[in-house]
Amino acid sequence: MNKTPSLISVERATLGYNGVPVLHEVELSIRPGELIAIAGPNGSGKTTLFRTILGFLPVLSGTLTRACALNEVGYVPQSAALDSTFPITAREVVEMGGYGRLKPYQAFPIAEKERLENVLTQVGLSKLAGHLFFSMSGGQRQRILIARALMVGPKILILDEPLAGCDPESQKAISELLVNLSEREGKAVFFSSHDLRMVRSVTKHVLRVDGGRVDWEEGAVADHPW
Amino acid sequence: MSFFDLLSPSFLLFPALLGSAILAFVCPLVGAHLMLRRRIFLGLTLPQIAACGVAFTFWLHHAAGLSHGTGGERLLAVAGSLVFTLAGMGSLAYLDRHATGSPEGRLAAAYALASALTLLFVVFNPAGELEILNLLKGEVIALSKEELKLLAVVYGAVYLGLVLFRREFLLNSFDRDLSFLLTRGSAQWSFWLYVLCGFAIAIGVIMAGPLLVFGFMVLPPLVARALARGMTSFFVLSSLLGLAIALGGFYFSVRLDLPLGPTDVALGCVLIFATYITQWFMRTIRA
Repeated sequence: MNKTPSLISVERATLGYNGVPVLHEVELSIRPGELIAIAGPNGSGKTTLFRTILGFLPVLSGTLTRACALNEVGYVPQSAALDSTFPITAREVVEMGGYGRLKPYQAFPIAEKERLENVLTQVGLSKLAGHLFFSMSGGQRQRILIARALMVGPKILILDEPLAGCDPESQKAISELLVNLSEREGKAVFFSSHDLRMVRSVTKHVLRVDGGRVDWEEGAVADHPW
Repeated sequence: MSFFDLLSPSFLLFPALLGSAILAFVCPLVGAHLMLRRRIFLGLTLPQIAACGVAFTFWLHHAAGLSHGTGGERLLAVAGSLVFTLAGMGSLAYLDRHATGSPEGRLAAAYALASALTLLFVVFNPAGELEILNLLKGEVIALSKEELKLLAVVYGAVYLGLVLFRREFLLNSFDRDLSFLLTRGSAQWSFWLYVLCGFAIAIGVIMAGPLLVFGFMVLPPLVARALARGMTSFFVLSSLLGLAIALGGFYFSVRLDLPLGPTDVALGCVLIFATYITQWFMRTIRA
């Protein structure tokens, strides 16, 4: 772990929904350039931790400190959580990442359009920008959502199950993208998965969550499953 | 009479055509937003709640001993429609956030209650029954210049709000979490969207009746949803299709001496069937 100041710091925190504790004594700090995974079975509290860090849920006890504003956090939800009623294109989804910098009635500036092209190139999907988002494969949708999070200009990326529902090729592309973002661009990346083998193949910094506890598991990076 | 004769300002029913066109251009945009939020049945329930507000104010007017046909009745109806719509929308939004159970069930129950109350208020006030029924049926054909002005002002403001804040409303409907992170005003944008929808529905019901308002809110976005390749084209197509239905419906209504509201709704349904059948045919050919 590096010694640069933490972007997110959680100390002796109890986290939960509607006053009901789900996770106890959580200790966590996320620094620039770190790639941290959180693994655990469905319903173990991974999403509770994410939603608390993102400010959607209050901390029940203990402290949570953010050294960056919430609009500097790039959040990638599961694409299955979004509503397929929208006839929205991939480009329009990515554009949303820039909305925080625009006034309500302002036209989309050229600088934002250039940034949009850059993030689409970064995730390797610039040629599919005009396609309907919900007609894309699970892996492509996930990469478009990562592009949207990058469009925010984030210091930290938080990704909820980014590898779920993706084919092996997409899993490889997304894993490499996450490693690149942390190693080359110095972004903090924090992602979740219910597949421990998968997260071990991407990073050696793994948090395991189960039975209301969150514990570090330090170990060697496993072989890639693809 | 040709189609182009209808578009002449000297045509006797030109104000009604203009009113119909304004409704048909703006209502689909409102409906499109509700459809995207999977709240399209609000488009059915709220006009009925607005109608209930109209019947309630007429009953109040009667209970206060005022005779029908006096000035200010229309204003009362507007006030009743607006108050009931906004109160209904507020209550349903509150229940959506705080109550358990099915939102569709709540909308259905609210629709049933509003329909029943509307009829009861009409029964309590037999003297004004005909006027109430005329209002609830929606006599867009008999729009006065003042009503047309009111419609233009309110719908102009609603349209402007929906266009100026399109990004905020879209983000809030598509991904509330991101809306919260980027704008810190997720609930605020939902509130303003529902206020705009409420005003459009309340005034629309007074001018054109619940059937036409619901028809324009639902049918054009349904066709546009099947054809659109992006959100901008979805919103623009919805409004343009609404306008086309209004003009076509008006022509057939005048030409064949049919009531305007049902003609517009029937034409919208024909458009939906034609669109889906054409798409199915194209898919079959490609396969």
